[in-house]
Amino acid sequence: MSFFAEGCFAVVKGPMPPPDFRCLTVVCLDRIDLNDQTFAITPDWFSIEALTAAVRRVGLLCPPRIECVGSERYRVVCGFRRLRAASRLGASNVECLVRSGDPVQLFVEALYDNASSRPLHLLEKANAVWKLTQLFSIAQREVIGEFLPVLGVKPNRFEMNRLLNVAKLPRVLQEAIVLEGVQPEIALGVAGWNHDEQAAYLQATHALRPGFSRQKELFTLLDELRARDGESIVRLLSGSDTGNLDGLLQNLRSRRLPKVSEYERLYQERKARLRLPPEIQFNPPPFFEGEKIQIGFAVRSPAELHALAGRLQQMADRPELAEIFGML
Amino acid sequence: MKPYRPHKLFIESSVADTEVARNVLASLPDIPVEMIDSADDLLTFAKHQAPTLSRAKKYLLLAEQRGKFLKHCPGGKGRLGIQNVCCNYLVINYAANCHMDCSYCYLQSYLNFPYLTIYANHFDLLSELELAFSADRARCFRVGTGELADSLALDPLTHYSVPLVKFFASQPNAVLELKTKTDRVENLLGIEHRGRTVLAWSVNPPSIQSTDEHKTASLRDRLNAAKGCAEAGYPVAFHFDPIVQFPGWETEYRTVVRQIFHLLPANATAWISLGALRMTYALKQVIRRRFPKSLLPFGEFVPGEDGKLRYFKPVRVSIYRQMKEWIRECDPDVPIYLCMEKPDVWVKVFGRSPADEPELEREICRRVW
Repeated sequence: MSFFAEGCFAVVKGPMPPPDFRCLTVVCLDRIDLNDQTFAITPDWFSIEALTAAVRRVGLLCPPRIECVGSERYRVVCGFRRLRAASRLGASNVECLVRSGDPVQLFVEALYDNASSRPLHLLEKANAVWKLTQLFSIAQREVIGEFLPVLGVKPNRFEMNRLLNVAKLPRVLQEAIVLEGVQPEIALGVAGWNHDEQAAYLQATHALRPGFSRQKELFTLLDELRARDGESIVRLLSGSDTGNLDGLLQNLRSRRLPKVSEYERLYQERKARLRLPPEIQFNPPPFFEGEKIQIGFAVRSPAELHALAGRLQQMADRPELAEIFGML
Repeated sequence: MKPYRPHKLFIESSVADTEVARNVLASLPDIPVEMIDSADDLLTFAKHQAPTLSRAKKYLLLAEQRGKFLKHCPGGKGRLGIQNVCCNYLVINYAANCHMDCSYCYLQSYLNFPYLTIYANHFDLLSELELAFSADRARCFRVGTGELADSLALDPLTHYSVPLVKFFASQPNAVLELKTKTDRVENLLGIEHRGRTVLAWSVNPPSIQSTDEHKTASLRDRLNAAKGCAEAGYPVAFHFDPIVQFPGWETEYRTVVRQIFHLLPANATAWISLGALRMTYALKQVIRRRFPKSLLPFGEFVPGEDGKLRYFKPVRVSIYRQMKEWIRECDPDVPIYLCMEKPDVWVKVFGRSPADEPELEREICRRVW
């Protein structure tokens, strides 16, 4: 009976005997099932271009670990990307360390090996936690206490659940995190939308390339309009100019916050009528939550200050200024 | 409203022999009970069981308050050091959390201990209050129990209100406010209160009560309870907090105002507070997760100076002005105050802001002292 079919509650036992690096086995690459992803934490669509170039130049410096699963048949325990690179380069034989033992222990060994040799991507950490809890049935308490610190993650339930949710993201959103710079938190939010909406959003972010804060603003506006008005993301994005991020955000903001937007428009109108010289900065409190307007200026000489003081005096007497203060 | 029945009762051994514990045990004879050394034991339990907010409400803990019961209301000094107009209110932390489930409840993102907790050493509370009130006889203290919990939600089990009301009846310089969304006033009607306890209700129109104030008493039941208390001689108070803006809010809130003054005798209402819906970002996320059908998170909010989300200031001012006008139509003299607002908003609503905390405190309490 296989370990997995039993669905047993796994407890990570003590470490296995360390591998003997003097006992390398030359294995025909055809005998290794590269599609068996049981022990993999790196998505198989991650780029291996740089690694392939390195292997071409210097060969495999660190032997992959494999497990024998039948008569001269093997599966990969650790070194998936190295073996794929070797395969891509046309290698027929590879020197490997053949490991055997409890699958949980093999996975843990591979995990420690990966985590200690390079920084893991968020998706790799997420896959590791998903496999520990779901595939190898290790208790969540143990995963939090022992494995999250290994992965460089704060050992708490919130972080574990976040990683589990990342692991469950559809591939298109995982790819968006890796390839399009979509923030994981936003990808998790977008996962709550339907397939067409996800596609429309990803298409828009691909075209507009918003930075982090504007990604967040765009997602929040879309998500709240969707929830409030029951309007689909496809529709919300359909009328927008996908080449103009500012215009899109402005359009969505005026729908989400109509009174605030109207107030801001009125303020800009009044401020324009003040005809402020460029050397005067004129800043009302954010969202008009406050009583004071900050007015700043810089001068190079007493004469400039005198001239500016006159302009300020004129500004102070204008009815538009009183109207602006009346808006606070 | 449906009476609260926890799935399990935890009792700290140090309070097992208190009157509160005996009352709860007598009221819940068939509920499993586990004696524990300390509430810290439950913290470990909570870490392992990952209680959700909803599940945790089904566990009732009777614990010993080892810190101070009496604290200054945190509303005056807002987050990030922003100074709101302060009414000098003191709060008694006799309990934490609530079995009712209002979508907008700030406790959801405020408390770090999920279980419904009653601090059963009420004799320590009374000693602490006695000490505080006697130390400053020149001051008139206004104290409430409704900060971290509803004042009466568990009163049928604990009878906590009884010694409190009796204690305040004997105090020359203090008034107690019991603030609730329930109609559970049965313990209060036959006891000596000498007008030193104000029974207060948080109120909202039925449309908000039914969608966002889960497991609470209906507006009609709350107002009937208020009427009963007023008839028993208690001063009563009302808190329009949070006021929610929605299409047609004006008609519904105006109706509630009229219902209050229609039902209650003139001058029975000691004070009315107004507070527009506000929330932290964290609470907004909790509301969206726990109450996906609630429309409350989709108001026209902007972050205030304290980082909290509030309705845009012109909207808030307009709400408060209209509420004030409708209240004044019914009672031109009842004290009205704003909760957690800055002086500039007070000025726009009332024409002026209170000079200091004692002035506002005196104004709020003028029908009670």
